[in-house]
Amino acid sequence: MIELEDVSFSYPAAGPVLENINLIVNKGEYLGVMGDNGSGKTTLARLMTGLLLPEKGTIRVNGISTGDRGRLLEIRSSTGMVFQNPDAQAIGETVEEDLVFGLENLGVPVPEIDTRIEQYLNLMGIRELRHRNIRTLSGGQKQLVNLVAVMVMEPECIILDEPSSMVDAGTRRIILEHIARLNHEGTAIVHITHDPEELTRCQRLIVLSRQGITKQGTTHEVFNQLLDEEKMDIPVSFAISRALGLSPVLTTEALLEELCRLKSGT
Amino acid sequence: MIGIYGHGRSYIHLLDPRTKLALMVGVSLLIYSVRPLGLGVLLGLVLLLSRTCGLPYTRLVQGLRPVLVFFGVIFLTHVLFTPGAPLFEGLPVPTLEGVVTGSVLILRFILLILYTSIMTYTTSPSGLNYALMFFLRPLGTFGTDLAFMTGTAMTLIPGLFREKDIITKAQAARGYKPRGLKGFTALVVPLLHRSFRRVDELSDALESRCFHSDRRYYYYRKTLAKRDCAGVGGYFVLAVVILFFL
Repeated sequence: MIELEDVSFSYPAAGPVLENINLIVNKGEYLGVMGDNGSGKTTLARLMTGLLLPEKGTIRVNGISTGDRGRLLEIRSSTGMVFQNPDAQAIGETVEEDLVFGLENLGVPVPEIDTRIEQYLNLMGIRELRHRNIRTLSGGQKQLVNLVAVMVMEPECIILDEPSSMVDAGTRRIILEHIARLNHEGTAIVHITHDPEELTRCQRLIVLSRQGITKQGTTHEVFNQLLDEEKMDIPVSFAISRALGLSPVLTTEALLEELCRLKSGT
Repeated sequence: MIGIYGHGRSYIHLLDPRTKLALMVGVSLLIYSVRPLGLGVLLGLVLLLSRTCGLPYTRLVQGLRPVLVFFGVIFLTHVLFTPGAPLFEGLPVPTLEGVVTGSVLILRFILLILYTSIMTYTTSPSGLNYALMFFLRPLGTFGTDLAFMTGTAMTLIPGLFREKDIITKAQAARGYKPRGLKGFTALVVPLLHRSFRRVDELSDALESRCFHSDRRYYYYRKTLAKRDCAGVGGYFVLAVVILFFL
């Protein structure tokens, strides 16, 4: 669905950020992107949605090059992006206006706009916020609204740039659950974060650094490699289960199950 | 305060955005053409409208705070440079005419800001964009872009004041007390920096949500209702009364 071929990018003041990146995001896939600060995670997200153009190489979304500025609308209608800063994404004054904005851009008929807004606000459990002024919402509520604003446009792929870095633990859990559900329903997800605990539901992981993609593989493969290199950028449950000689698990629930099984000797 | 929208179901909220924009232009013309007594009537009306649409007086007046210095400069200029009868014996200035002219001019500015605040409080940015686009339709795509830019710029105004508050509080927390020109630049430079960043973020947000200049505002489109006719009729009655009888 998204193909990056030998992509390089640099900022005039900061020098090269990404060099010779080759990556494919498949339809319906849940891809995690990890990396330290300054490794180019946000730049990668902006490149994938056509907000930035690569200096070298090509990026294609459903076969359309992001350099084809005449077809940007097609690219952006198939790739939605949730920004890190909840305040950066708000366009409308009220929640409803914010959601309507993207749907009007896509030319969705009025009755369907109403249906989609109701459906997705209900799904996220924030129906009562529909007429609230966005500025009066908490950081967590704003980020949920941002997620809904992208979801209502029903893109094929959603790129999340550290969507839960500015929210509390409860909201983070809700966001992660909804992301997983979206993926389950067929939406491709590119989840960018520096927190490995958020990537336990990913099918595939890449680790980004200034040198480019340093690791890639299934979630288990990448976390195993990181642990072998004694890097602690892995979920705690994964490290504990492996240290205890159990089969490596990614979530606390799975770890508890393994421990219970170990205790009962089955 | 200009640019802040409050959702509501009042009579003014329910007026068509095009009607409100047209009335705003009409009221602006009245503000600059009526005599002082007429200004008094317009002041009374704006307070009544504020009450009707649920905008508290305190918030209405808050919108005037940022322009107080501007008002002071205008007033002083008139007081010092308008020829007329001196207020104090032996001193050529201030003059009575200067005080009167300065006060009336400031009142006109105040009314303009208050009416604009009422309009933006009762009209959603989308509604405002739709109304602007409707009136700028003859200009084609340029009109669409201009309408969108104007509407979006208006929604950024409250953000500027919020940013200013954040910067001054951050400076105060570090023990900084702004003084003179240095204090002014210490505020303006980060404010400009943050504003440009905000505009940059907004442009990314617009693009990522498929903004294009051929877009149409149709979700909030309304058909003119009886209440719109009543509003326009009321305006004409008011205009005749304060232009010819006051």
